[in-house]
Amino acid sequence: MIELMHIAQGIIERGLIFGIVVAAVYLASRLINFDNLAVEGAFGLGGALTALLISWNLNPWLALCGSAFVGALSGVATGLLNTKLKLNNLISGIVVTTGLFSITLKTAGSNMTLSGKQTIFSAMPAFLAPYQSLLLLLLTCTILFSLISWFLKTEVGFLLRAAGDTPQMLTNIGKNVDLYIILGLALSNMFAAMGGALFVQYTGYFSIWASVGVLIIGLAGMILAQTLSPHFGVSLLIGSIAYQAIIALTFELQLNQDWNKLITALLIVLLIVIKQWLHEK
Amino acid sequence: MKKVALLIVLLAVGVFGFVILKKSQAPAIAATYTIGILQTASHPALDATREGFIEEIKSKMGDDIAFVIQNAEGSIVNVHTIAQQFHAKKQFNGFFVIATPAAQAMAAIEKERPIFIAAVSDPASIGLIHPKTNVCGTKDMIDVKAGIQMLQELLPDAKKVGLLYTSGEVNSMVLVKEMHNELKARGLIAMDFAMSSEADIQAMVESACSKVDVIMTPTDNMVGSAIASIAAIALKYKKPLIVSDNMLIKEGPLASRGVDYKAGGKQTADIALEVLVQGKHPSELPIEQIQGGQIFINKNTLDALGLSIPAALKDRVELVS
Repeated sequence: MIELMHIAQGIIERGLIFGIVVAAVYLASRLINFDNLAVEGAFGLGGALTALLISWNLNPWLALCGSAFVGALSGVATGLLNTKLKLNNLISGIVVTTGLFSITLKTAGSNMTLSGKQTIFSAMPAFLAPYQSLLLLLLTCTILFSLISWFLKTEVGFLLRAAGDTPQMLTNIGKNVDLYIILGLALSNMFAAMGGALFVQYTGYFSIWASVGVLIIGLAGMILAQTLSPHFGVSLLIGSIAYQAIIALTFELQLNQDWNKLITALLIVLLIVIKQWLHEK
Repeated sequence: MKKVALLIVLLAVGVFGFVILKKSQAPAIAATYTIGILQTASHPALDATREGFIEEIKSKMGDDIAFVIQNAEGSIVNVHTIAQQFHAKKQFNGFFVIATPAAQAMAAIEKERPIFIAAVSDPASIGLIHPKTNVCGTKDMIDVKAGIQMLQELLPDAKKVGLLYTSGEVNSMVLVKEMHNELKARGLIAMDFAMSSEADIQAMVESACSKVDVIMTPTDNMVGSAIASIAAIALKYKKPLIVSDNMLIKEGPLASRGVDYKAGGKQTADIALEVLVQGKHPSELPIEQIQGGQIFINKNTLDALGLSIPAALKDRVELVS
């Protein structure tokens, strides 16, 4: 039973971290209707910068903020490629992810260990030790998600949503649609980079390969979440945790991991089909 | 409506889980020791490491040791997931981790039970060596000096050496740096050919072939998986290809004086038994270099390039065809 508790705790912790990536995917694809493939690049960059800053003994929370900032910049870059140079959505994202690989590599090398350094997880009071990661992640996610929920209810948030749904309306009231697309992508990549930064601090090391496959984790989590609710909120975290649980299950059952990716792919198809079928009824 | 959707999803997951559970339920283990094996990815060298480890332990302990084998298939997130699941289970007496990411993840989570590492190039640089460490095993750092010595003996006329590697692999970067210094010290010219994805390989090798006298690679995972095509291009341009992983030789490179991963697995197994059976603490055991200085040469490639083995090397060479 204790074993199960430990495993569940790990699933929830990873679910919360990738819940932030799920939010990144959601903000781009559902809010401004932009399938943002730059999420993967931003995740890696965020992780690398956090690793570098922490290796300089900078405060780990500041490192997290630094990652969020460069993440947002990468989103602005994606947006500019799309709106100013007229690259299509997918290509803008792919180009940014590809380019960021080199920058990420130059930032922290291919591998950087944080052992012995202060991370947000090691700075907690000792009596919380077994649950410190969980509590800290819950707190971080609550703050981030509350902020975004609040932001989406403001006028800017409303216009952001309109930029995805009815861009014509924005033009009619004299607003610049491009600006809102860029803002949406900056938010999306900011979240992805924070996910990467948290993952690096959580695992205690940075690896250039950690970002590979992150996009599909975000996508799968979002699709699971949308069977619960189409809106921004806790459902995204639940979807993310559910996906981590499914992956953990495949390990628990000692499935041949060669099938892991196929299971993920089939799961996504299944969920989308179910959703469409429910829509039709 | 939402509840219906949720129900269907849960049902699907449940049925799916149940079916697999039925199929894969392992019989209860009645061994004295259980070792969790965490392999970073599927790769000939890493598979050989695992096989060597299991073979050696089975030959010494019979069925008294049981293994639970997990493979993360290259996903760092999954490496972490498995490490955390291993850590949560009290049944394990120790863990065998193959390649750097697995070692890092396991060592970051498990601080008590012993961790045996193999196929890790530089355990010191990833923080695994300290006075209270619970990590021991072998490192697969190749003997760069001896490798370049062999290159010079085999190809005395070669001046320009192209170093082909993946720019994101920590083990490769460490070795390439060392190769640079050694080549420079011997008056040879080193040129870098760093690939960032498997799609670059062909163009990169062709470019290298047109610029250098000989191509050399460190123990690099991407080179390992694409070795057949790299060797074919090198042969087309009549350029010798020297690799650092002996298992690759049968795929067509000219020579290797590198790591025998299976031997590395066996060596780690012996260290693991010292800890598990004799009760030593991992911190008392140094992380060993993999033994062996054998040179492997591909006979077909040697003939195709019109080369011959110098007398000084003859007794250390094993020909492969």
